[in-house]
Amino acid sequence: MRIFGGIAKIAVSDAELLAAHAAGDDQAFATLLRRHYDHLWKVARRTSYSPEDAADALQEALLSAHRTASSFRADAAVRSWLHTIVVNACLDRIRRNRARPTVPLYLEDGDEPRTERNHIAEVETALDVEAALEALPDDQRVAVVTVDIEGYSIREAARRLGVPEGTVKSRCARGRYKLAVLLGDLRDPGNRT
Amino acid sequence: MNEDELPRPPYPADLLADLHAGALDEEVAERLWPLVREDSDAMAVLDALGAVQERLRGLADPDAPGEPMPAEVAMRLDDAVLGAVRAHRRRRRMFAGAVVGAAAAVVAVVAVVVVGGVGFPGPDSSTEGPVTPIAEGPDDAAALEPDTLRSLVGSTDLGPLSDDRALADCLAANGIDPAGPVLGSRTIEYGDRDAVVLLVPGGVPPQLTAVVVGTGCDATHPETLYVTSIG
Repeated sequence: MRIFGGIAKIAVSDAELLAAHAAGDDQAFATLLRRHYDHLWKVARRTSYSPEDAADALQEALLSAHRTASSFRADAAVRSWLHTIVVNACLDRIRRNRARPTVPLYLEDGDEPRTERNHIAEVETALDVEAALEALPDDQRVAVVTVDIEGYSIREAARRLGVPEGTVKSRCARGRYKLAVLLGDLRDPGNRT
Repeated sequence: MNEDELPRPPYPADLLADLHAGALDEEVAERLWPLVREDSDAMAVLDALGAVQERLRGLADPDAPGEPMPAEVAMRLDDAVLGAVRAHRRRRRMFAGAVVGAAAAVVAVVAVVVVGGVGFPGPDSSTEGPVTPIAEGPDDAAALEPDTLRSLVGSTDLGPLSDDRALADCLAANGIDPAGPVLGSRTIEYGDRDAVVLLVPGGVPPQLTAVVVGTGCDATHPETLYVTSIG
């Protein structure tokens, strides 16, 4: 069944698309999700260690959204609902990957990529915040995103990521400091130490 | 750390960042804060860190610009979502068919009993008939009855999901926290498919949730066949 085919779908609200999905329109849910793809991609990218992880987490999140769509409260904003599901899927994925006894995909705290200092030196200080975030080591970026952008408490971030609270705090500390340098708010890291 | 061990100005920037983030030992932080507040250079660093947090909060705005989703990712998601929607509808139709079939059977039995009258030799409930195995699938109502499912607590028969990682992936794909316990499991046939019943804690104790998944369940294919809450 297809109720919202063609250009007509532009005019309908998210809630109407959800209702159409419940009424048996195969395309309605995909149409609803597609409206938010760019936003959800942005969220997944900054909350994941790699584009591949972001795509995988996003797929898990959207399938999970489909499973719970019937219980979604129509009075809540669809985008906020999807946003939360995606952030949690990304964090859960990081925790699961971390729990696996495989070759680490990223370096542990303290062992930052060798090229990072050079990278910081090369990056122009007037980068916008998004670009500066991308220059951070993955673990620091995800900690800063989870706490400062998504507003999770330290405790919740630690629980989701499967690391101690102190680790989240110190990752945030390093991440914020590097961001301040990259954004030109502070001088080069070596100047004060 | 005694008084002599406390750092003196100029304070290292990474120490200030730790102090700002609450990453230092509480006692050390309490003693360091008054000293740092007296140091204008240190306060400038702390202000800069606060400003960074402020700028980060600006990214929480859902309308903040970002890189668009790559076309290949969008296509992959479209396929996955549409596939899930259609699979769900097929399952619902199958389930509805099974329910209608079962209801029709009940009506037929009732009709026979009524037509046969009081003296009709109906099935003797004390007779030990063949026990219907759970493996007959969803149209075997007993397989997914609360009592049958509860009896799975403590038994482990995960089939292809016996591997820890496979199980964790499958649980996560089904929206179940892989860190939580699986209270019981059993391999069954669900319709014409090999499947596994997973019993996990429900939303509110002592509620339980039973999830039937296909044996191909993995991180990206939840293969959810049936979900029910007990209690």
